[in-house]
Amino acid sequence: MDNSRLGCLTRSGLYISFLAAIAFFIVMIVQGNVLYSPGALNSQQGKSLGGVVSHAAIGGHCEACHAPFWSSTGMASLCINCHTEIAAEQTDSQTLHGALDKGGINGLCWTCHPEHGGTNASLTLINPPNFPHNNLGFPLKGKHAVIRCSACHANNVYSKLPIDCLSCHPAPASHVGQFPTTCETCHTSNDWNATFNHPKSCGRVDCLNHHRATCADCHPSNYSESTCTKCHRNNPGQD
Amino acid sequence: MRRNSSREIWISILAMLLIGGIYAFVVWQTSTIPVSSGLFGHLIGIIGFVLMLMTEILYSLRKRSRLARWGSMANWLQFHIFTGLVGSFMVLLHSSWKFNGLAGLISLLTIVIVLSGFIGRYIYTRIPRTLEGVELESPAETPQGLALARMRKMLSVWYVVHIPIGITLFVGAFFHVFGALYYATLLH
Repeated sequence: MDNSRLGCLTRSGLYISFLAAIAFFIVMIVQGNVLYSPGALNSQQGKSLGGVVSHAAIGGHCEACHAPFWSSTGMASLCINCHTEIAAEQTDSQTLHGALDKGGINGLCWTCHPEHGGTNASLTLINPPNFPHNNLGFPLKGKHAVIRCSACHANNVYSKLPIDCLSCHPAPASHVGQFPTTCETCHTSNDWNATFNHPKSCGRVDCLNHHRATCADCHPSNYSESTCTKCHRNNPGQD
Repeated sequence: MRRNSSREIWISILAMLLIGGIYAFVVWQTSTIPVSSGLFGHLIGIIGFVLMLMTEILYSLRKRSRLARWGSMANWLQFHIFTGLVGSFMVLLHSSWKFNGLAGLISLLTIVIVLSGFIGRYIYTRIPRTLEGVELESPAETPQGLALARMRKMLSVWYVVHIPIGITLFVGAFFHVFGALYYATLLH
């Protein structure tokens, strides 16, 4: 074999590696690491934060969001340097970002807010399976876990939605004035039409089968109240 | 060598069709192009790079070392072509078709080195050699001898193009890996 030829594992190959490494290093230093940028920053204009109205306006200044390697500062603390309103939210678990932080999302802004996706790419992308909905006061259970986000979050409203059942599920006419609004007594999120297990209220016998009574015999006014006095002199436990 | 001269190309095309099929399946399943930083994107990038690196290191080792004498040079060249093609193809899929900054430059160099490899393979196979890769001599004064001398000259020029591009590509790739670890893994 002709060993005078240029090759990867030869002295000349090592020289080239060394020269290439120096060249990349110089470009890296001179350009302030711009060569690592995976894509353009978002150019959507918002309110001025520290004189900056869009991420694109600070494009090329990597150090604005990326800490040098000798620093223990992470990216998240550089995010909240400008986004002070988010820093304030994080201290209050009643707010969206405060609740998310409590759910272990703390310091992982990019989980929902990716960057470098191009000038028009969305800055908020939520991946539902990874989103800690449980920490926001409304765990997604049963059918709530499988429906489309927009079924509850119509018109892209994602914050401060009411969490009581009746806000989304209006009481049918048959229920109004008849049943209490503690829906979960009879309904579950797995099956809204779940069969109602009538409580064996007197505790001694199975009222339903024992009495052959009609609904109205025990519930003369509405179904949240009951009485036994249609047939008995007293209610159970009374003299 | 001549008898099986295209075998590695066909095996490479088969492997690329298979990998391309898996890629298409992932695109179809997720309705999106796999991002470079995702599980699949990273996987094809890392495996592709290891293949490319293996290509170079093992082939060079076999070529230069007095100790590593395992396998014939002809087979090693076929292996070099296979890993070079399939590895480069995987790295190209890893790019998620964005060619920014250093990563874009490396993608470009990858395409250039593959094309250069094809040219080199063509020149290489025009020069008769033993299975060990040792070039066979032929009389210098005959027309065949002159054509051969021209091919040899072209091959040495080609080495000066192919090898430095390859080395620059690998050094760049290490910088790219460093950047990915620094910005994405360590979250700086």
